[in-house]
Amino acid sequence: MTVIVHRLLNAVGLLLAVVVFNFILLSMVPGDIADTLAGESGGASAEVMAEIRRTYGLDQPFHIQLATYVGKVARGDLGMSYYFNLPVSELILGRVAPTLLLVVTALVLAILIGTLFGVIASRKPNGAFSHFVTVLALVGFSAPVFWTAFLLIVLFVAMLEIMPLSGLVDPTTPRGTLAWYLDVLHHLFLPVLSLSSIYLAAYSRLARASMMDVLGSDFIRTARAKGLGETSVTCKHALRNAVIPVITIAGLQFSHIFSGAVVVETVFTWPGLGTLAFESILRGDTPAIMGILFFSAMIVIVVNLLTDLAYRIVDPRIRSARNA
Amino acid sequence: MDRAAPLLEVEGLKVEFDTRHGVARVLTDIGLSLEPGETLGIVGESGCGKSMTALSIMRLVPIPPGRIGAGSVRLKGEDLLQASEKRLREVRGKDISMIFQEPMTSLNPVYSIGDQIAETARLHDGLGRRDALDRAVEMLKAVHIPAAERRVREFPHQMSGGMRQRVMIAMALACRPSVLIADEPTTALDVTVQAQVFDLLKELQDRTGTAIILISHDMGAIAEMADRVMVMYAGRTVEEAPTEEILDDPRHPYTKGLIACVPHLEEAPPPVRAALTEIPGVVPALTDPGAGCSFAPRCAHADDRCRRAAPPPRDVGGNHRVACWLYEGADAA
Amino acid sequence: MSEPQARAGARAGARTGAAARGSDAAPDRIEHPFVEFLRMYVRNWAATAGFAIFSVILFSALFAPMLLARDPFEMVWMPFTPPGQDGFVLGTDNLGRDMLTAILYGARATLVVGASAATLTIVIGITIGSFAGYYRGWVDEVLMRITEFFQVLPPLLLAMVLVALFSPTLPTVAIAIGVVSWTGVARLARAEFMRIRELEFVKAARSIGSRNRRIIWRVILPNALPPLIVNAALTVGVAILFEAALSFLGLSDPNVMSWGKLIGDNRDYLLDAPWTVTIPGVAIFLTVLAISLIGDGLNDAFNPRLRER
Repeated sequence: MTVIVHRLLNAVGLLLAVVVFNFILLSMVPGDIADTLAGESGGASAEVMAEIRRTYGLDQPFHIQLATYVGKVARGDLGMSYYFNLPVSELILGRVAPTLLLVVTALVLAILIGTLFGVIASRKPNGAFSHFVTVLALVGFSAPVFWTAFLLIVLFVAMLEIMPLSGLVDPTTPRGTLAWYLDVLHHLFLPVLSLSSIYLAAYSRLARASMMDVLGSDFIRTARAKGLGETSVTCKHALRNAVIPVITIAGLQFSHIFSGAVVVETVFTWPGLGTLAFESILRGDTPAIMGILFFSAMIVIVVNLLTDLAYRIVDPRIRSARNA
Repeated sequence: MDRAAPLLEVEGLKVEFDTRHGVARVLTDIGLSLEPGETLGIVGESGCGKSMTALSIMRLVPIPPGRIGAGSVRLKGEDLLQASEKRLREVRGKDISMIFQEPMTSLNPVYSIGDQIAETARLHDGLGRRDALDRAVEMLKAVHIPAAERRVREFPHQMSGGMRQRVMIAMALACRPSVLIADEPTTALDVTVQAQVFDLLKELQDRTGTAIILISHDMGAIAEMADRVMVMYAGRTVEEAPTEEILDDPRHPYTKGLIACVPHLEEAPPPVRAALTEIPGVVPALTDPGAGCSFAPRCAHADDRCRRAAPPPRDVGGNHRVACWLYEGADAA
Repeated sequence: MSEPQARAGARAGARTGAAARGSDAAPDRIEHPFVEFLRMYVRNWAATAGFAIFSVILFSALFAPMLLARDPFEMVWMPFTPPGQDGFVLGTDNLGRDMLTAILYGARATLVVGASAATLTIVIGITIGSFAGYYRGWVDEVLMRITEFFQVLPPLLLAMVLVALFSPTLPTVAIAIGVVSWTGVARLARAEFMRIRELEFVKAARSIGSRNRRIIWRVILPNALPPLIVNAALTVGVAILFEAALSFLGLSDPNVMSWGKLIGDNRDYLLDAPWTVTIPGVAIFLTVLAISLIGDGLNDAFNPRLRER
């Protein structure tokens, strides 16, 4: 139990650090909101500028400002978007679902298919499929994700004409119907394929190496000596040990897959956090950018906690470390 | 003496491995036989083929690069080398079980020890989940693990090396096999724990009548446990005899060396201690054994003939067989 | 007499036997380690091919002005001239710029940013990782918390924010990439240092009174290098991919031609003039592929288990 409490405290500490970091970044940027607002309205008098600074608390000393900022974030107030003039938290919540749909689907597919590929490849370490996995891993690592996406667009949209080019859903489809959900899946296909390709490649190589390592261990020999068939040996005794490194890496890399989503969303104009982040950066909408940075760090932290949990379920050695 | 077919009989076993330096003759013309309730000790240096003999009996030699070139392994008359893979899986764990050198790594870290013992019972005796777990508890009690009902739910990393080896034994004996192959079962353990494990094996053997093949490089352990001893060198059997006989009257120069190597602490009064004996020279590469006796390069008695031709095993009386030219004229009547 | 010693007698023969097989398998002549390393590397055809591809790319980047003395931003012909037409080997893009020139000059920005960002990544990573792994205790605790902090921020997003908040110039881009990607190197260096600091020769160095600084940089680091060098190759590849992504998104110096920028500028014309997008992509892909092949080759050449194959 104490380990879990420790983890949660650590997570809260990390989040606090992100908030402070955000604030420091903001204060390092030349110019402040008064300049920005004044710039947008085409110039303002000194009194108006001072008024704005007072309203936003910019006349307070640094540590007071910091404390106020942290307090606001803790209450879920991420500030107002300059561009939309809406609370940033509202803006973000409206964009979370598409991003999570994209990222989680891509990650789960990459883990499942990657592990499957790795297991098949490990059966014949010098076989054709094994070499295919090695090449796939190299290609997946080396191809920039936006290029993969463009190639897929050329193939599926321009040549085969079976996939939509962009967006979350065809706006003419009535929302909430079965057709709507199917259309979302249809639109999801190419972004997920682009995003998961990188990780699918990495995980199949990892799973292959991990399986080969495990298959050479003593307890596999024990399992064979018991009279178990190869299917039991592979699926029951080897696989559970072999997925542990895959889960570890997937957890560690979640922030990377989130990064990849920014690019993929931009390419497919997928209405998620990534597109919002990109557009906010182009618009100079600093509160929105900082809000997104904070929010994505939060998602990563939550996923890390979940990975930790999954890890404990699969590996009893970690589970009992709790008692230690 | 005319006997019925033995429990386990190995004849003319030949195993080869493809390596990058050519074909390694890992086992050449290995034969052994085992009666119910008997303990056969196999001794030799590491790499002499002891473990490979054990794996060949279970047909667990990795193929490729390994290859069983010739011979037969007959369990109650049935040749396992000709049997189907399916039939062999029935035999493994049910008729012949095996325990290994490394108790720390021979158990699967992600399953409880109860699950791992129960797995054998479910597989071979068709027990249900509950019954199999009961069997696991019963087996843990049989190998003297305290608080068996609780420990059955524990994981390998929660146990000491000696405890894990007990678990391995419990697992191996869960289906009452007629043959137990113990491959260096105590090498990785402390001396005191070694003695406990041997006592346990003896006790269980007395109770169940299981025949044991004990593989060890430790002549002392073999002397304590085995009824008969087989000495292996570079993939061949060089000498075989009842334990008493081989300790009192070793014939092969290699066996003599092995026995001389066992330090006799009580015989060396301080401060004058005899230097530890060792056999000079090195084992020839298995890929290039040459035509002669493989021990010849290290043997003080070797002559030209030893270097030219390998000596066939011959009977020297008293169930004692030795493969050495020194005893050419000593054929028993 | 301890138990292992007692056993040593009985095992003496066994050990000489094992030693004999070991030396038997080793090559007959002893080579200089670097020569052996080279031999291992060259034997790996994929790694050699990677090295060849990388050399060609590096050569074009270095000598771009001598090969094609042109401004890559200059409009030289009709926009969207397909490759091979009118003497333009790789065609022209949406602004009528010569693709070949853009690719040649783009290699410079890509390689310079990739190399400097990777250097920064490695320097930060090794420094933090080695201190954490060597000193352990509270130093480790603090440094690992910092590492964890950088791990929860999505790296590309953070790099985008950094570039946008400060200025979109090549040095900013390189620094931003370095700042967001050192955590992996730090963890690897830390693990290596923790492993090596427990080895006998480090204890020996400590026992003769070597100072910590000397032990870290002169005793442990050289022994920790092989995995770090292999990782460095991958780091360069990752840095190039980061640079490409940032310039694709328009978050790089608008006055410097790079492959990512070329794709970003032309992305809207993907379906009409696919070569304007695919060709720079091939350039990025080949560069990173070549570097990964070199990394894999180094890995194999450093790995003694594979030596005898």
